[in-house]
Amino acid sequence: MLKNKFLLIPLLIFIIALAIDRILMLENIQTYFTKTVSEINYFHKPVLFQELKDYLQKPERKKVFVYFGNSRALLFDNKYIEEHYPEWVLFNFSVPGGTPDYFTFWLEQFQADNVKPDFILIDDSIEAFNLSARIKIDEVLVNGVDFPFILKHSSRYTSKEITNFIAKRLFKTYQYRPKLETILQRLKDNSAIAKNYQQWRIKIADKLKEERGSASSDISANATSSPELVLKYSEGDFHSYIEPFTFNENMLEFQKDNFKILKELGVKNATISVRVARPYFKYIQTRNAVLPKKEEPITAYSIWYTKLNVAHQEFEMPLYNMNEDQLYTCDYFTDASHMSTKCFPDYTDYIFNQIIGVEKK
Amino acid sequence: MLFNTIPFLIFFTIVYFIYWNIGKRFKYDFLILAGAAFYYYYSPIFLLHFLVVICINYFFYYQIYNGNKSLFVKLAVIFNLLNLGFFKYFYFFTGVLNDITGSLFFKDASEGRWIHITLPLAISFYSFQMIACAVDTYRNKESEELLSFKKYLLFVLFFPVLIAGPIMRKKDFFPNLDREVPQKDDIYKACFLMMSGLIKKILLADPVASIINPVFANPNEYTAFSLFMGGILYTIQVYADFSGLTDMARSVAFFLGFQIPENFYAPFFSTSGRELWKKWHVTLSFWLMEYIYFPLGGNRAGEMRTYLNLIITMTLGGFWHGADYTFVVWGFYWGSLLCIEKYLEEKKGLPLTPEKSFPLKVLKALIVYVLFSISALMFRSNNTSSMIDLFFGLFTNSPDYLSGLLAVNGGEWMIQGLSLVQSEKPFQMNTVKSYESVAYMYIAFLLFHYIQYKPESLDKFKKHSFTLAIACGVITIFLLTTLSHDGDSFIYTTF
Repeated sequence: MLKNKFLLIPLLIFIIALAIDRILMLENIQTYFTKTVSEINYFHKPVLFQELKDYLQKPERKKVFVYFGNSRALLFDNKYIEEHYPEWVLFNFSVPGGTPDYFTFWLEQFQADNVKPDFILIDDSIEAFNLSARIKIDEVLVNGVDFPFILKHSSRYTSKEITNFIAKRLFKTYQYRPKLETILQRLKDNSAIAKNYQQWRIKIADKLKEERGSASSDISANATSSPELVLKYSEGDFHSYIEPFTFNENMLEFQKDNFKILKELGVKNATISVRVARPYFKYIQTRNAVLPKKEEPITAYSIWYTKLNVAHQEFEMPLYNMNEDQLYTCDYFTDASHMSTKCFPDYTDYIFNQIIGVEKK
Repeated sequence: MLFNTIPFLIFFTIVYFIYWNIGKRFKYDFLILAGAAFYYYYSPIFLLHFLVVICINYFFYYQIYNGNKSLFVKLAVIFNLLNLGFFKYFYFFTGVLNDITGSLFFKDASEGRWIHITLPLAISFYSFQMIACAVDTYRNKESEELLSFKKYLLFVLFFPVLIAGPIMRKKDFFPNLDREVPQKDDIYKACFLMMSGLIKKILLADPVASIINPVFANPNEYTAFSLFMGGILYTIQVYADFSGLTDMARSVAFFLGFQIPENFYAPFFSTSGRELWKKWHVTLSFWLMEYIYFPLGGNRAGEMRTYLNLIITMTLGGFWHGADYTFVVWGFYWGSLLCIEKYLEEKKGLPLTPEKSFPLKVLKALIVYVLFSISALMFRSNNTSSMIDLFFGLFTNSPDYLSGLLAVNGGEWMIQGLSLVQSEKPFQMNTVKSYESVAYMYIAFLLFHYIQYKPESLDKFKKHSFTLAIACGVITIFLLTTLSHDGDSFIYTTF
């Protein structure tokens, strides 16, 4: 091959493209085209893990509660927790699009490093178990797990998912899809929008550090939407994330791994299905979600509940379903899937009172 | 493992670097191993089946070569057709028997209640390739040397053609083995073919598919014009998809120093059906002509027999594509059109194929394109009833069809009620949108045709091959990373 250097042309093309891609991803350049900040949550988690390990080593420490959730669990307010549950501290490992495989990724590291917090809560959202959702959330694959993890669990990922993982890890432009329209807009007024956007990214990164993984309320969307708007969002979310529904057995295997690791760690634990807007939950619970449609409607909820129930029983893992628990009543929503910050005190109380079993002070 | 996936990229990178770093005497053993690994990735069981099929075919080939001609050529053809028939047509034939007899036995069999059959990768292509090899040996024994089993294995297991052809014949493949050293031009060609294949598939075929998939999923909900546009656009999709796949297969072969045949020569610049079939899926057309049309007597057995031969050949060609009535009708349609064209031109002397006038040539090419697009509706239909809906809809689905139907059935009040609360006219049929992107896609489609029509137009850039390969390669990667959609699989991988 060295005698015929022209055989290396494809490699040369690849290396040049990769180099350009990396240049485009420099922080000062990417602010002209990236639109999301969710990856910052993922980038922060290794830092949080180290912080957790250091904290657990301290002789004088509060009780540690670790939450593995998704975007529904990002807005906890540490001040509220300090005030009402002063003997507890939250390390929030929730990320946007968080799914059981991401929790396995971290729990395997907890087990390897013998990290034992006092309580671990794991999310059990139905959306994470849908293999055929119209909108695929691939943030865990793209930002969360690493190559050795994918290799270890390769049988649980489809070839398309692995392709997506490698392609987006290799080429960040494939992940962020720069659009000329966005670049031109951000260049306007001496790059005013780009600068604001950059500041926003920095602020979120600082907040995640400060709030131990929660991207707290003052910088996140926290408005409460009108019931009409929530109804509209519910229709959209059902169509995007629930219908058509194909239960993802591989995700269940990851969740079972999580239950197994938690048992082996000997840490107190529970799973939670976080409350969603009432119309959205009604659709999940009653509408047919399996295509092609059968005469008798088959709901996503019945499939999810039956399968998860078996796993919970197998590992004696309690499930706290906020959607059906009459003790929880706060129903202010930003959209169909996310409670507004108005509800986070109630949400926090629910976790501490009902799940962990601590009285509010 | 399709060419446009990361697993293939990883597989091929490994193959490429090992292949060009080992001695010549190991190269072909290594390619056989790579072919087996490629097929193993698809299915270990089917690799075993494939190897058994190759061994049996080599036995037939060996016997034919050694003089037991007539019996073993028949056995080779029958064996390959049975193998293909079982995997590809079992459900279809039991379905036909069920339609005829109404028997529950056949109904259960056709619905897969008794046996679940999966189609092995590339079976339609490798079966035809091995039949061609047997028949060619039967016809030309004196002029060639006996192939060793290893060479035969390499010929059939050559992985660039193991997705969807091109269907190779011995003379397409074996001259490549005499090439001693890698050629710089081959690598440039490989780079450009890979770029063109990826662009055709990812930036042309996949976006067109996303526009027309809803039309074919619910033809009853779309206007007649949209259904017609569905056919027009599906023609672009199927061309870009299959021509893109062929480009990638040829590119992979070129990277390994092999030149394999092209399947497309600007088919939609054709000014007659006859010309179209010489330029569309050329290796299949050639196979059909060589191994079905000519053995049936071709055009030497009288006028009526020639027409019949044409119809039989094209119908079987249609049936090769898939086990459904839709493909049979598609093949029959083309056989009939070719007969009509032949009759009008040769018998009636009508000058249907313009030779000089450019505007007439363009007009005729457009007519051929529209004729193909009509047949594309059959080709794309999910099943027979959907095909009937599509063609019925072409004549009935006016924009007001639904509201008209409601009005006739006493639902006028619903239309009036709804028109008070919504700005759009209620109960209108859907239409295909995104005509702006369709226009861009059509321009790209014409550009790729021009390159296939006049490949020499690119010769003037040859002296800048290195710079162009690098620049175009990098630009292609960024076009794909920024503009690609979530795509479907290749259409021809299911045949």
